Parts: sequence; structure tokens; C-alpha cells
Amino acid sequence: MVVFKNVLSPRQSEIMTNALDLAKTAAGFASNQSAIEPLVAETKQISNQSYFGSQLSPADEQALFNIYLQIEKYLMTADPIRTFNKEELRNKASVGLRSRLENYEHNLAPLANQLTV
Amino acid sequence: MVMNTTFKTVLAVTFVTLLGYAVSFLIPAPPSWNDTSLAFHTTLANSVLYTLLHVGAAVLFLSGISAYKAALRSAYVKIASGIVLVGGGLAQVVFLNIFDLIQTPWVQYGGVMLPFVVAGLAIYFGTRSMAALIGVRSVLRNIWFVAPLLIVCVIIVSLLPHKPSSLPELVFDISNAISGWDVVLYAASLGLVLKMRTHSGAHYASAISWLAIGLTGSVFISTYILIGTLLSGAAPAGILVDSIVAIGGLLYLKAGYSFARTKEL
Repeated sequence: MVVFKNVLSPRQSEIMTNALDLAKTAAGFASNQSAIEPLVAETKQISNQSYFGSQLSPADEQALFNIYLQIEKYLMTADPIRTFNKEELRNKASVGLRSRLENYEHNLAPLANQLTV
Repeated sequence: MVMNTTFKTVLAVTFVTLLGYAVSFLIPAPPSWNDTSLAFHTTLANSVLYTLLHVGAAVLFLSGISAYKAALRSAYVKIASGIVLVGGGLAQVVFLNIFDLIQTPWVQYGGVMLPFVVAGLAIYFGTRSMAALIGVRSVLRNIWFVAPLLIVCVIIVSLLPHKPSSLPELVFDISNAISGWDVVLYAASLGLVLKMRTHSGAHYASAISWLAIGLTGSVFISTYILIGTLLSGAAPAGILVDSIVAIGGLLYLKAGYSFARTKEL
């Protein structure tokens, strides 16, 4: 029955509740992985540091939000086969996660960008 | 139960395929047919079955293209055209035989082989465009590598020893050369698709894997037909060939379905 359910229903739209899954899922949409290789490597590094089942530290979550925003920008502007839109990508995040992401985007990301400049 | 457009397309393809299969049994055998009526109907029905499976696969490939950029749409159209030509080309051979059209100019002047020549090219150029789009680096993308390889293989195949054939030697050699042509182009496409599999994101993994499986089927079928022809002096026919070609169509159908589903996030 699982086979039939899989065939009959629209693609299972998984809702991500943590920043690590959100960044990994967004990376999976990139048709050319080599274009986002440093971001994928950074995500793996954070994933390896945080052991299974543990909560992400606020610093890790912010780092992953930063990675996600860069992948999102790549998907919306530079993916060679498809143009994604922000809404369809962010719909993959739970309400709480999306609110933390947008809070980071509006308040902390500009600061982080200023520091790197 | 929610049914999405892709699944409705699968249902429509399945319905049309089964309908075509059933209707084939209602067509009267032509006077020129010199075997049993059952043999006529099963031969016709099987060729209708695998033609419609290949056409259905192409429809599914094309049903997902709206989500993609123009360059990928063009690659999809090439691959889908190639798949239609594979099924249509095989079916026309059956139709020409059972309706005794072997003496028509289309067959006499080699037009009958044209779909197979174009199918290999369309699928190769489609996968090559896809590979180029996502930045796959491979010698198989290089036309200056693939074209000489193709020419060498075609020459070798046409020079291979074989059982005597009822066809003129030149026609027999050309038909084998075209099978060799397809083996090389499908194998080159398969190599590119496997490279794409490692290069693209998890979202496309299933679709690309199924395309690779479909192409493996095409390499197998073309090789089987080539070896069978060389060993017996005539192109293999019958339930075994019909079955593997129908399975090949099903594999492309699954690949088309998986590609159509990649438009959903």
C-alpha cells in the first residue's frame, strides 16, 4: 500500500523543523552541486559537530541560516535548469523555523554581512 | 484522495495503452498474412503496446517541463523525441512485415532505418545538453571523441562475420551498422547520465537513476538485436523481443514519471 500511496499522493512535502534539515533540503534542489560545494561542506561540518538528536546551538543555527540564505539566493538566481521562488522554498520550513530564519535574515544577517565587508 | 496532474497523466497513458492493445485484436488479418490469426493479433497488439508505452513515456517527460528553463526544456524535447522514435521505429518494422509493405520505397530506400538513426542522435544530444547545463565534465560530451568512436564502431560492426542472410549483403551490413550506432549513442548517453547522477542534487536522484535504467535497457535491447541478427542472419522477433522492448518502454515510462515529479518540491 505504501507504493500506491507514494504513487497516488502528491510528492510528500516534508516540513523541516530545524535549520540543518532546511539547509540540506535546499542544497538537494541545486542541479549543479559543485556550484554550492563550499556551502555543502560547511553544512556537513556543522552536522558532524552536533551529535545525533542534540539541539543545535544558537551559533550553529545562525551559521546554517546564513548557509540556507546563500543557497536560496543561488536557487532563485543562478541554478542552471530552474528558477525557484522564495515562497516555495520557505514553505519547506515549519512556522517556528521560518520565523527564526526571517528574524535572522532581517536583524542579524545584515550585521554579519557588514562584519564580513 | 488527491490526484495530481502527473498521476492523471500516468492513468491516461495506461488507459490509452491498454485500449490500443485491446483494439489491435479487432483488426482483421490482411490477406497477405500467412500465419494464424492469433499470431497476427498478438504480433500487432504487442507492437501497439510498446509503441504506446514509449509515446506515453515521452508525454510524461514533456508534462514536467513547464517548471524548467528553456535550455532544459529543449534537452527534454530531444530525449522525448528519441524515445518516441525508438518505440515507433520498432513498431513500424512489425507493421511493415505484417501488412506486407516490405517492397514499398520507404523500406527499399532505407527510410525504415531512419527512426533508429535519429533516435540515437536525439537521445545523445538531449543528455549531452542536460550534462552541459549542469556542468558535467566528461569526454562523452566531446563530439570529437564520440563521432570518431561512432564511425569506428559502425565500421567494425558492418565487417563482423555473420550467418548468411536473405537480405542483400549491403542492406544487412547497414542494418547492423545502425544497431551498432544506437549501442554506442545509448551507451554514451548512459555514461553522461551516470555522471549527472553524481553531479546533481538529491531532488533529481530518483529521476536520473530511472533514466539511467531506461538507457541501460536500450543498450541491452540494441545489443541483443545486433548479436541476434549476426548469429541468425535475420533480426530477432517473437515474444522474447516483444517482452524486452515492452519492458524497455515501461522503464522509460517510470523515468518520465520520475522526471515529471521533480517539478514538485
